[in-house]
Amino acid sequence: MILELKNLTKMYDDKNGVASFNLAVERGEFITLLGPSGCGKTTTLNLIGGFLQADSGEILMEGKDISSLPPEARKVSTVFQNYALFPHLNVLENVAYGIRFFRKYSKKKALLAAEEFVHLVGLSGYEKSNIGNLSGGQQQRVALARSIATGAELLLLDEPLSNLDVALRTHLRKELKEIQRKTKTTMIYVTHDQEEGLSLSDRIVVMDKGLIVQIGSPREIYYKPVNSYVADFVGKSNFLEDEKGNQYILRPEDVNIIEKPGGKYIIEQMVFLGHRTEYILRNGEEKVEVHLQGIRGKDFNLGDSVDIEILFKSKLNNG
Amino acid sequence: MNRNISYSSLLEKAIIILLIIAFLLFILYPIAGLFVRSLTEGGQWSLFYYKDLFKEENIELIRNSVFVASLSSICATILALCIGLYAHFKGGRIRDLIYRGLMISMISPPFISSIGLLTLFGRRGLISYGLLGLTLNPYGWHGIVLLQSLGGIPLSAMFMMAGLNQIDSRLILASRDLGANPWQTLKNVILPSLIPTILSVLFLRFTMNISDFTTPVIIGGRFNVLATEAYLRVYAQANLNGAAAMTVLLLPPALVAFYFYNNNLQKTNTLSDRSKVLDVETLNYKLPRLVNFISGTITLVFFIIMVVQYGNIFIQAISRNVSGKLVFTTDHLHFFQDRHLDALLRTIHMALIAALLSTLFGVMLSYYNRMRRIPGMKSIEFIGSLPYIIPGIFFGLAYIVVFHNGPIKMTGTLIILIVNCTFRHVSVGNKAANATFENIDKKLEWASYDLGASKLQSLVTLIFPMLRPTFLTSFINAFTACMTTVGPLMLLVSPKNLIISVLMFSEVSNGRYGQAAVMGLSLILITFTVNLIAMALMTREKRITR
Amino acid sequence: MNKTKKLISLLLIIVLSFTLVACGDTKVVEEEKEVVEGTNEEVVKEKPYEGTVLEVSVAYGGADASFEAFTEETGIEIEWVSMSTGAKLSQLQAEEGKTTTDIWFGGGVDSYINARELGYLHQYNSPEYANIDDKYIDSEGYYGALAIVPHGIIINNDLIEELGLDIPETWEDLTDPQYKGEIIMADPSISGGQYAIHSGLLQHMGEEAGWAFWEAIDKNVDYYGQSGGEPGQKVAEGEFAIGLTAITGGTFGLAETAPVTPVFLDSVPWIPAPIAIFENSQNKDAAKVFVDWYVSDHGQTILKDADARIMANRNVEPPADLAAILDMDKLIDFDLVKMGSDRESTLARWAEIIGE
Repeated sequence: MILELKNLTKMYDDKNGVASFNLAVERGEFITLLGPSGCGKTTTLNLIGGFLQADSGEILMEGKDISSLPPEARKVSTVFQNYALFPHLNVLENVAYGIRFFRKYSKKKALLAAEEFVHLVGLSGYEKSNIGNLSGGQQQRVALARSIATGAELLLLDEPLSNLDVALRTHLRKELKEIQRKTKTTMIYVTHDQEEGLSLSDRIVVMDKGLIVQIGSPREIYYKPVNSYVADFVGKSNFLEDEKGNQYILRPEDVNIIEKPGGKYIIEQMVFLGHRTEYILRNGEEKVEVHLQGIRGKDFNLGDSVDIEILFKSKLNNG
Repeated sequence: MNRNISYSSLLEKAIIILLIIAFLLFILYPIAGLFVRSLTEGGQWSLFYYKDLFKEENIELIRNSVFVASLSSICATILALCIGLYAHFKGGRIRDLIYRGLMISMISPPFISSIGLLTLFGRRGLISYGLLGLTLNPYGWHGIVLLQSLGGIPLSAMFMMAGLNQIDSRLILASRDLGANPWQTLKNVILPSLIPTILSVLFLRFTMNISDFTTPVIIGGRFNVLATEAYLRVYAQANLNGAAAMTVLLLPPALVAFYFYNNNLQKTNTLSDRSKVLDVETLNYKLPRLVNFISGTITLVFFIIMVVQYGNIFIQAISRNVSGKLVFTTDHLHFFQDRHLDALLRTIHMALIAALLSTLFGVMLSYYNRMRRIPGMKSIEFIGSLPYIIPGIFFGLAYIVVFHNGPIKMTGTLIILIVNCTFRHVSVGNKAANATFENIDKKLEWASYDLGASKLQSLVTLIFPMLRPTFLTSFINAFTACMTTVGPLMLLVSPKNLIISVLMFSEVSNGRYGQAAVMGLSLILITFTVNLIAMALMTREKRITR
Repeated sequence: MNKTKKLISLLLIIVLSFTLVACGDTKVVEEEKEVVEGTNEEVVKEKPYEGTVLEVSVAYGGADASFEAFTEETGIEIEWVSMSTGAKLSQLQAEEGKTTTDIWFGGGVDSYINARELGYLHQYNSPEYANIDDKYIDSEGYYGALAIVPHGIIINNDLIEELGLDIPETWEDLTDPQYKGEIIMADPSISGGQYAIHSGLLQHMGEEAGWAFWEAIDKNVDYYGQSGGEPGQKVAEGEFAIGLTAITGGTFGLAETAPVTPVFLDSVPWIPAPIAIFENSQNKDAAKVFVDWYVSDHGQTILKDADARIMANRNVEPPADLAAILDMDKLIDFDLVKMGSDRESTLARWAEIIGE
């Protein structure tokens, strides 16, 4: 176990902050803190990074409490949302910064050592470039290289991809996962994007209003959400209730439409996206969203009466 | 609709042309007029006043000027940096308090400070001699350096605070995160990021110091500088042309410094993305202990000096020194009420109008140059900064030279004071607006045109509202400057348009400190009140936009 | 809403400033009205220029205290500004004599001589000049004289005692090394008064002895003041023990609030405090009334009360304070014309001495 957070609490006021946060992180794990803005995920990250002082609780790193140490004495490194690259230093100097101060290399040696990391993130040739002349994606890579270069055992990433466009985001996501596999660095990743969370993580921590709602693997989170909040946050969902009052969650892609003239459901909305088609079916008050992949979705039209087939549903804990 | 727009664009063209004419007429023309005068002797073109310019004594004067101006600029910059760092990283109420304190200490006219400091630290000063038993000789270059440094601190420290505020605080977090301790972070991130601000403060101080003649006159002793020599040529020897020629010597170093100042000011604003700046309160960064101690001490000492100085002015205003004993009296106040109340009202009136106009002109100039990039405006902007660079007294003289007859005869009127003040301080608003425009997306204006607003309508309904905080700050600065300026107005006043700052200077030189102190107090109170009102407007603004 | 509020506050400021203009204007208008009414009702002969406003540029400490009496008696209003004669001359040159000021009051006679040559002064031979010694006034009447300003030293009694210095009695005494660093004098190239001491002593001692004296005293002076009034102020503040200065009512005023004493030495250099009308004056007749009044026995007495000096008008007794310490016979024989013509060469030589 590399990191353990025990009852970590930091409240800004009655409502905002993080309360009684408990989490154990294994070496090499990729953990995502997932939640909407204001849920306390960045606060948690800043507490681990040492930029904030906790009101109470412990931060144990390899068994030692580090909560009173200043940021520079913690073996963690943060990749900031806007990268926080030093504008007065070039790419290589930025990457060397942490090597120089964190690993206490001389300036010369640090610059030499930094080259390897610039190469790791695929920026060879840009060593002497001015930060201002780099694209967003390149800046992101510099930030990542800079943090990894410190040799920190734990990397904290604060929505590192949020400033990039979708295509680049997907691309870098893969790259990040690849780098993590190569360097075996433990990473804690903060995001509000469920796709990022699901695709990158070993475990996801879903947070709401400063509290942990659920911890689990991406599959658990997606298919076994503990409540509607989680269910809603990680994907689209339909909620069903049986006669006993049990609530179930039903993913739109886990429903099939069956052609049945005179069926209970009427197709009310249809959005054709190419790779899939999204339908909203109505049965009186009840509404069901259904996503059909590929060719399966081509046969239905607005106003058709159909029936549905449930492929998978999951029972929710709360009533 | 169409007619409306063309009418409006015609109106705008007229405004632009008027703006250009105003800057040419009220800045370039007088300055040119003065230099043309200095190139004549007995009605003939002549280099008479220039032929001796590079003789040895003048070279010596240049050396003195550059030496003193550099030294006091460096001192003021370092001290201001310390105060700025201390205030910024203390944060919260201490920062606000220091900021306000700096604002107040900016109000006092420099020669009043000189006298306050002389009574405190002179050869028989209350503190140096009375308290510590030291006989200091303040006269000489060290006295000038001391006073110019102290006088330069308030504005410079405010610049530093603004500069520090602009540093993306995540850089500081990142640096610590990457293993740099507070000291290494200060050295490798904070100070390098602050370099443009530091340089622009340094060069601005240099420009101000090299053309400052009041301080060397009061405390220079046998140590002469170029500005004083030029001033004395006017003031004591009535050698107007020779003095104008001498200013030519002052210009190159001032222009060079100003060039660098300008260059760096622009860099300050483009350095980093400001959208994600954390509050210092949540930053959890403390200055290294030694730096904290030193800068804290400097801040404390500076404010003690300010308090003593202001206290001194206050006591002088309500007391009389009879055989070494202080006797309280309201005589000065009564005398002031009887004699100078008119002048005070006139001064307020002048400063209000001049500050408004100067802010307006400065902002408009900036708008047409930075936002609309109208060709030629860049040169006009340079012209607009000239009055700020050249020694004040010459800007006054230049006005007399060209506006004493002909179609624009203004000498002896209040208007000449207003116009002079307006254009002397026009670069204050201009610089502030430039900084703001750097951060305004030009597409906003396109959007406005796209939505059917004419250029003029966009200016009034879109740009001006966005600039309101800038308007207010530069109004405060211009108002303070107008209320306390002496240099350029000294020769423009006549019995009918006397203003308080000039009166005060003459009271000081006649040794009537009591009267001077009452005037100083009244200036301070009024300026302070106006500042408070403007600041209140500004904080309300902040609350609303939040 | 909010926009409107802000607009209103801005407007308020503008309105406020314009109200002030308006206020100022109304006042002037009212005053004029009163004045007009006044002329109709009162005896016109006695106050023919009632309501005329004269602008006066003053370089005569304390003179303002006498303006009220003048206005009361003649009905002529005074607006004045205190400005050194050097500055006024610069201003005049810059505006080529087109000043709005009517009267030049006191200050350094050399500036008056200059201004006369440039044609800025109006020729006026006041009948009252008959009571004034010819050597004090311009032979052609371009400027007259208000008072004689004698020069001596001012000493700080406390400092003299504390430093164990002797009280100097002659100019030569000042060259004694015991005063090193304790003497302050104004730069003669700046202060007309100091130049008068300079030129006066050169004339009195003779060129050679005079220059030897100035060279010797330079060794005792660390600091040259930038205005004629500065030595008196600095000695009163205790910055220096001895200051070379003009001795006027103001000097005695200093002695009331500080431990200082004015002292005349073995010989007394002097200069006249002149008065003149500007050629560009639009109120020359009223200005003549002003000049007549101020050089008349009556006006001179009032001016003497305002600031105690030896008045130019021989019918007016010297003030008691001054008379008590000044032996009029000690006033040196002084050629003002020579003083004016030698100025450049004298100052050049002086610059060499202090430059060393």
